[in-house]
Amino acid sequence: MVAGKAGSKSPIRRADARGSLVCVGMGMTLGAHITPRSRSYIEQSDVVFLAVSDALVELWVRQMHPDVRSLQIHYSEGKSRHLSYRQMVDAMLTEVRAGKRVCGAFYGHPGVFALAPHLAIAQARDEGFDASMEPGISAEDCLYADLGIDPGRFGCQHYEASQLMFYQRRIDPSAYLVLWQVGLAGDRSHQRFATSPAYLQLLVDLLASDYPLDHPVVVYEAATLAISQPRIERMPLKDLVHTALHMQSTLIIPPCQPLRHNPRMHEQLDALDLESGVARGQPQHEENST
Amino acid sequence: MTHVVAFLESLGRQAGLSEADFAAAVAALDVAPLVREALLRRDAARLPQLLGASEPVCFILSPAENEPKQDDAPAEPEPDEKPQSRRVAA
Repeated sequence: MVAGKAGSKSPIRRADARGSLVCVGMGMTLGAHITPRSRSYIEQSDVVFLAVSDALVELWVRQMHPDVRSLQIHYSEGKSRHLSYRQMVDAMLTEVRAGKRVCGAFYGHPGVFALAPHLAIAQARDEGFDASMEPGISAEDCLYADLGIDPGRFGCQHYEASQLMFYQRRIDPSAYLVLWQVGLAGDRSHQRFATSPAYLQLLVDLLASDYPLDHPVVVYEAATLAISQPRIERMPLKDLVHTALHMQSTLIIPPCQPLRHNPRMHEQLDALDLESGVARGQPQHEENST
Repeated sequence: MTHVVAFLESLGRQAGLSEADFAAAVAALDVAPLVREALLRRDAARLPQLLGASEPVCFILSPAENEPKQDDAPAEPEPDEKPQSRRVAA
């Protein structure tokens, strides 16, 4: 398909010369996850801005469109990523204001742990431009499939690892806990691309308030190419400190406590059921196991 | 390079390819011997180097906290920060 092909049934229709923005998800695995609609947006846009986690995925997108601009140029070690994200937004908005149909293509899901797409869409809308987001298959989706986890079974909490350290949060150890960007745990500078064992030790110390140090955890990285396998490395919590972690590493902590009944709520429900004439089914309360 | 990326794309779209079929598909590719070897070894780290692709410098897209405002004390996070003020979602 050719960019801007006349007469095509593109989801982006050029009714006038007004610019527009759509942020799409590439999914995690090259060729396997991108939706037809997201691909169409990439192919039919005037310019594509790209932020992906794999060098070959970037080559792949460059084969879809003649004007692909990497957002990588806005990163550098020692530079605040806050500034990088602002520059990414500016880069996309500059072309929208110039009347271009702009596509921002981001690995995974463009709205999950991704600040710039949300900011860019909000900014474009504030300025009166059409802007939208197309979902993609995120690392979260992949980990449910690869690890056999159903977030509905015991519940599932998701935190950015450093945010969990910076703020006082209440962890529920009877649910799954998923910590994202654990490879940068404790970085307050927003200028580093890795963390060190001393910072990870602080994270482990924090988690030790709710979990035994020998509690089994999983370091997970989704596969970005169909020739490779996801990283699924199991270890006791205490060993996290000396485990190789990367920007794409995610920590999954299974529950360490069983679900606990809420007797007061059950009493209230019993009373309500009685009043409403609702028969109570046989309770099937599942004990969670790790 | 184009062949390899197109091959990886087709591989991503295809379900249930046997090892024998995979090996046959790699053997049929018009690529350099080192690239063929990396594919057969499923060496995802080596392939970009062989194809001259630049590894991403960084791909973290979400900060752990909002950018401090100019008039905020930098060391203290906002105690009343509302979850909806963060534009990240799990």
